[in-house]
Amino acid sequence: MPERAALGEFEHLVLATALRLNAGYGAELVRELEERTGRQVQGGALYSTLDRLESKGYLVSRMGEPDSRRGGRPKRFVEVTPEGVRALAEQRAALLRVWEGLEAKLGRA
Amino acid sequence: MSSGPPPILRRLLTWALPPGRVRDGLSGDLDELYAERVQEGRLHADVWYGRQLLSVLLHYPPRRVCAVWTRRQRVQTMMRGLGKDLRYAFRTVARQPGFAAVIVLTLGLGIGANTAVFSAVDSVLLRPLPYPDADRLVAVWLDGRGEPIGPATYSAVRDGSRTLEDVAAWSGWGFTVTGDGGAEAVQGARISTNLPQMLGVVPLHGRTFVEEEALPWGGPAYAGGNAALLSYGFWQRRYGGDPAVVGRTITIDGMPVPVVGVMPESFDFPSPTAELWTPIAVEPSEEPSAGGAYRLVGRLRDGVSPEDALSEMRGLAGALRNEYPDGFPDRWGEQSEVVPLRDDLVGPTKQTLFILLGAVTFVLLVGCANVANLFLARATGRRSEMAIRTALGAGRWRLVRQLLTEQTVLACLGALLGLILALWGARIFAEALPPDLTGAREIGISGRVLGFTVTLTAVAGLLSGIVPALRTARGELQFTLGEAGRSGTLGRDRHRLLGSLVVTQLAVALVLVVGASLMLQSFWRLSQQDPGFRAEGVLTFRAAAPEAFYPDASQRTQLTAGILERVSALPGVASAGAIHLLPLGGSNWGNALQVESRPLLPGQDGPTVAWRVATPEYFGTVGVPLLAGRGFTPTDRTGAPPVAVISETLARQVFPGDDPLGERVRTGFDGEAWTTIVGVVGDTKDLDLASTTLPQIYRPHAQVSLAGMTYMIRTREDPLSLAGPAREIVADLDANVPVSDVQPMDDVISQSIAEPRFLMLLLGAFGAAGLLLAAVGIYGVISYAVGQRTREFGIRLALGARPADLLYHVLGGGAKLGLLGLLIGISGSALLARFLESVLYEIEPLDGPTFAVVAVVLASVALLGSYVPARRAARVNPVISLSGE
Repeated sequence: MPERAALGEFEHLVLATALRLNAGYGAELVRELEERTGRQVQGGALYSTLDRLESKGYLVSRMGEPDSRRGGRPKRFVEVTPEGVRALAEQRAALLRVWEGLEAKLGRA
Repeated sequence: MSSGPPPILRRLLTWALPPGRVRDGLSGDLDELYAERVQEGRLHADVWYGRQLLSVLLHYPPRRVCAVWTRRQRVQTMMRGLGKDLRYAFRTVARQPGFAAVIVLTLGLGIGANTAVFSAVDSVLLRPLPYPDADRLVAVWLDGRGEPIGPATYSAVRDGSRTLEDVAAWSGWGFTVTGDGGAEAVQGARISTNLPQMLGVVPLHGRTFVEEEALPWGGPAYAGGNAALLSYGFWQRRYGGDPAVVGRTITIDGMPVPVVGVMPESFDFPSPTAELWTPIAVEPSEEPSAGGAYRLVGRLRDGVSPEDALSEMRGLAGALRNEYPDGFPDRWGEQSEVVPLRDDLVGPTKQTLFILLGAVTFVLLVGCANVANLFLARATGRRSEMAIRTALGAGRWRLVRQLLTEQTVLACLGALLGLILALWGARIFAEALPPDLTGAREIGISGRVLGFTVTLTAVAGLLSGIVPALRTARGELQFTLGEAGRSGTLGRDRHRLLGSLVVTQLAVALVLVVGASLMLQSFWRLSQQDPGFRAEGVLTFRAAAPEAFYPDASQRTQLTAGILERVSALPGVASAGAIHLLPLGGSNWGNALQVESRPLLPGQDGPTVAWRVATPEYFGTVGVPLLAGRGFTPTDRTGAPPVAVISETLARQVFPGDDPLGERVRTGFDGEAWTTIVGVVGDTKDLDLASTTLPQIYRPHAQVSLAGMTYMIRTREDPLSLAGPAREIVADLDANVPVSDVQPMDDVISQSIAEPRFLMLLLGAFGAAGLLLAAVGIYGVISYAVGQRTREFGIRLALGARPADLLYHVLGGGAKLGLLGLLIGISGSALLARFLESVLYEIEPLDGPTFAVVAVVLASVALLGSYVPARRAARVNPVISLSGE
């Protein structure tokens, strides 16, 4: 895979959250994201992002056991792949480089 | 448990989500999250769930709902897919340049040829005449196609017609313009004053004619009325495009005539060679009668069809016959025709063009079949690729689409090549068609032609590509990836498909070759026709004395005699004579013949004969044999008894079994005097080599001194070397007499068969191309089949078959295809022959020997194409073929 597709903003957030959770599943991701970003996360957006990240090779997902508490629906667990980690690291580094020396302008953020 | 999300929303969610882990995971997650939120209030949770549902619908659009949104999504996906396909297609094409080149070339030739022919068809046949509402213009033939009428008849038609808004009359004419710029013979027409208005043409400068300046038909012999209109080209060429020429007086046929206007560049009635128009009044000074020199053009009223006008014309003709029984023979007017003006001006070229269009379409068909073969053959090599892609999830339609994209790319490249070829081809057409054909000048790539090319490319691409694409994508899915390339036997399906392609090619090629050879024979026979005179070593030119400068017959006689005397004195000249109409020149002066000793019954018309005026030396110069009696002598001059010489055909038709010498005859051109037949000469071909010989009658120039004569000089040297001296002689005698149409007689003959020759050459080329393509096609298919069956042959050989058996087996396969192709092709040719009937000269379309020869040729092609691969089959080494690769 010579060139890596860039991560969108939401993709980045989702991927980073998945990294944090290690082997989290959908609802966990939603809770974590909502708590950390402070904004509402839509399930549809999250899942299509997970699909996209998976197609880019940054995540893998697997299904768990059917859970009677969820009306018999199994959970979808996601894990970040090494490529995914690399992509996150690259983008973070890029962001930091861009932000270098700009903290002062943030002022009373 | 009852604290789940609202069931209806939940059911909607489940339905909207794609089944599988997305549905399982997401709906489960949302259930879980809902359970958390419900603790803060049911309503709050429900609203949240609703918003989640909306988001799901947005990100996973259900296929059934919101068709527009879905279609847009699908279109976007398709567009993205198309872009990928195009890139992939270009890469694939670049990887196999040889293969691509063959396809592009084959399609390019086919498309190019079609475009070239279509551009000719478009310009000559389809493009409307450059007049407003040109489709309402019709040519009216009261007594059948080609029969002109007189002024009184014209008046009757004009006054009496209710279906025609207006009717105008015209007659092609040759003028002599002298004065500044030298003497020049100019083609043009005498037209009734209402013709420009009826056509809807506005002059570039000045005005068109008014009634007062037209001269009556029965007036002075010169053709200039009291006004003249110049063509754009003539105005530019002779008068330098100076607008001040309007109002100036020029000398036409020796008479001073004021120029009243200049016509626009697009005006070329009746043909592009017309450069000068003078008005003619058609006030009848006599009763209407049959015969005359005018052709009629009319404009249909709105809502009137040509059929309506035709029945009216028949009625009018009948009324004229009844009212003036002495003037019109019994069946006059029953052959009336009303023809769209465009068709009338185009004439027989229409058939030629359509035949060419048919032939060129066939070539393209054969080409497409070859291309399809190539695609199919290549499909084998891509089986593993297709299998991999299918395994990775590509749908069949996706594969087909990608293959079609490849084919379209190749087809478009072929079309580009074709357009370039067509530009060149269109120019060839423009030069090969007769210059006086309306529209021939403008042959080129117009918008309509371009549209035709695009459509043709799409059709050709689809034709040659769709079946291979479908087959390729579907085909060999049962082969696992490990077994790439080897097949035991050729699938029966594929064999049948390839076979039918080859059969089609053979059939089409057969039709083409039959057509070409029929044309070849026809042309050969035509060119072998004896024109009745010897043309080698003869130079001809026309010199027309302006009538106003030569009002006396004796002056005209003297001029002609003077020219002949001086020309004969030139070194190398054997003899020189003159005749007023060039044989094979395409025009005729015809009239009805009356015989004194066989008076006609009232209402009966004599036979139509071709009337000519010639000098005594004419017959000897061109080698027309004297069969009985004598030719003209110096004693046959003005004041002496009028004499005539007739042709063999006239003698045979009018005086069968009797001696015509001494009989007295006359025609409308001779006035009241009876002329005595003093001799019979051999026939000469008149209009062209193909028409039947007309009965001919000759009058001596000394007695009928026409001002315009065509001179024939027989020389031992090269005829063209006399061109300069001849011009000088005439200019010396009178600078006001223009010399025109200087050419060797051989050229005249060659010119008269130019169109059949052109057709024959083109059809021959197409036939050869079709045959070549078919040969290549059959070779390719058999060869491919043999290649596929190498293993099978190896098995057979190992099991005891002899190499010769294999050879015959393969040959047999090829022969079967060939036979089928022949059968289909022969029936196709029989149909084609019907179309060719109109242009074939004395060749029966269903000519047995031709069909037989062509069938044999094609059979040999088929056998030859199969032979080489068959040899390869026989030489298969079973050890090698069975051991795999």
